[in-house]
Amino acid sequence: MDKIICSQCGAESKAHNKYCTACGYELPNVQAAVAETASDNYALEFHGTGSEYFGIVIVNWLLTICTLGIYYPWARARTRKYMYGSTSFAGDRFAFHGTGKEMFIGMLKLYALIFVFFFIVGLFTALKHPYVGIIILYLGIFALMPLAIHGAYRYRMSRTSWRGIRFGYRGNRNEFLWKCLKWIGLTVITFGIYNAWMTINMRKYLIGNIRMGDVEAKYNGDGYDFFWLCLKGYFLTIITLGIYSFWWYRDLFDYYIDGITLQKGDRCIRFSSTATAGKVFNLAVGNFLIVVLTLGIGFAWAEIRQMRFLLNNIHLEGDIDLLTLQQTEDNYSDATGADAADFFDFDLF
Amino acid sequence: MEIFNGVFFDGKTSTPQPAEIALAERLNEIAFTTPEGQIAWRYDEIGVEIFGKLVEIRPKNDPMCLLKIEDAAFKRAFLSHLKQKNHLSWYHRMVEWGFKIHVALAAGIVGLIALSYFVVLPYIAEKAVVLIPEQFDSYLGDTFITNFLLKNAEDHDRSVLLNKFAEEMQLNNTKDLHFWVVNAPTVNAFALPDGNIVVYTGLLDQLQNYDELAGLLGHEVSHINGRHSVKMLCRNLAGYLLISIVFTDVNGIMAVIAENAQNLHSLSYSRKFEQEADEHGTTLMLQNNINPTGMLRLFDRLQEKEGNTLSHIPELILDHPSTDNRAKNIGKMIEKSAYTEIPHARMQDLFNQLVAK
Repeated sequence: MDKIICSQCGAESKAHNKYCTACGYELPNVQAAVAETASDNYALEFHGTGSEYFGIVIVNWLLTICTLGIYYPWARARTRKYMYGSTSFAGDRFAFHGTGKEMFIGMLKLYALIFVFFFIVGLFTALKHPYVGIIILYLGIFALMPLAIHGAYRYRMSRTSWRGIRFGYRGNRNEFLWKCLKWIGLTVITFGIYNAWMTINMRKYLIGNIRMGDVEAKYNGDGYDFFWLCLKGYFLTIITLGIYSFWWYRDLFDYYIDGITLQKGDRCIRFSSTATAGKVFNLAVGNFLIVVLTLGIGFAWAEIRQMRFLLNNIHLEGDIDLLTLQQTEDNYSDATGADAADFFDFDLF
Repeated sequence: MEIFNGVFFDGKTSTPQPAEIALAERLNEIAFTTPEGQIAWRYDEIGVEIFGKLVEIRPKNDPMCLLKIEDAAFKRAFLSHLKQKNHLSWYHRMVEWGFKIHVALAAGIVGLIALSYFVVLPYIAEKAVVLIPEQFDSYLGDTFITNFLLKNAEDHDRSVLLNKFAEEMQLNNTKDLHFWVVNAPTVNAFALPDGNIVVYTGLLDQLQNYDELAGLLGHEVSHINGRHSVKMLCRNLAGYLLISIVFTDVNGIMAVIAENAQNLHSLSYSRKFEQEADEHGTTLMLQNNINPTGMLRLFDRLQEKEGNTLSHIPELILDHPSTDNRAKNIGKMIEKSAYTEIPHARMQDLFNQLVAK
């Protein structure tokens, strides 16, 4: 395609022209968009604006109030669609395909779970054994947490796409559950020290099972390093009366981002963080002031700043050809996919 | 027919294909040409997302296929097409209302929340008083009066006289009444929800005729008959109550009210309740054939107490109506009613003894 037709006047121009030769109208840069993707452009960008997002939030509020809260899951789906759609990778936007109906069902499941727990606790209280109910409650929460995380990843990944390529989460539920119970047990036995290792192990498992078509994600991290990072951050934050917390947050962000890589065969893309303590300070204090000074109405802008911070501080480098990704993940709406859906495959948060 | 340029992804690979889109006004579909061929999607079969000037279109049955057009002219033309053909979802219409309308909406929502918190919620709380059993009123009053009499000196002889005075009147009371005279210069009196009524000597000494005292008792008894103090507590604590009601915890409601019971004597009633008590009090005087102008003279005594400090403050910013306005309201009520005054020797006698002490 070497000709482009101006949408303003209908005249033909050369495809690489920036402006129409007949009327001077700015031509959409299709050729460049197609060509650009071929090079090593791995830019992550956030295009959302506070005023746009504010409109969505306000419409959501209005509908949620008018429906006495029933609209809430649909509102969640809307805001997530906006956040995904406002994020671009190499010039193309992500997409969230989840629907309000799916999230509504998720909410009903959550209510059902809460009801069951209340019922159990109430039953044992009535039987004059309240502590049995409390123990069951805690054990239940520990057992359900891994299932809920697994379900949330499956749900969210299966409904995310980029350039028409589906994401996927390939973790095995039972495997993940047993690993988690082991980690939780070790954390309890070590009075919480193992928590650092648990966090890193969990990230390795969760991120390591994410697919973007035939691209695989990986997380590299070490529980020992992470433990010292947390310990150092904790004590320095106390000693400096909280001032060090911006550096601590920066370190945590770095440790998360720097560990991620994408792999396709022998090619890869590496993630690295460009966050600084100054940027963290700017984000945290700025958002605090925005929310407080506008009595909460400005939180749409605060959320947008948060997203911008996240995406502007991730730098990607590598050699994967993003033009030739193949669709590999099953379609969640297939008849075959439906029976694989789990009770816990929902994600509201 | 307008022609636009976009990019198409086929949902099998991530390879972008240039697409040429034709928007025909008479058709109910979007048609485009890719190097691999021609594709057309009907308007009722597509999902549309808009981000700034970027439009993303996907078929509903295969959302991995994606046509994207980043062109403000296309967005305008396409949205107006969808609108004409009635395929633009109401949600998109609302989001496209624009920033000013969204800000106005936000202001409206905040206003609505404030309105429900400050007006609707207290109103409901006041009505919710029926959930609270009457025994609770007695419990509240009992707790309060026991504490109160420990700290304040009762004038026993005058209390006895005041109770005898009240017995002479038909007060339409639903609860047993008990009157207490307390030694203090305060020009005031108050009623507790259980039927206990406290009158300070400061006010008693100001009164010059028995009909004024009758007006005072009528007024205070009307507060009790209307359960005004429990209603006011409910109103004032509506915020806390909301949480208790959400958890359907009536005991919790009563606990919160009980905690605030020590404020019973300084509880300021709403304008509506004061007016109600004035009117019912006056009605009681009429029923007992007592000169209702006693109520008006009672207001004069109260106004002397207020002095000049409050009289210039408009009624709206005061918690309860200014005495002036109350007097006007009752004045009108008395004008309308034909009353017969029967002098009451026994009440006059008791009153004289009360004042002489």
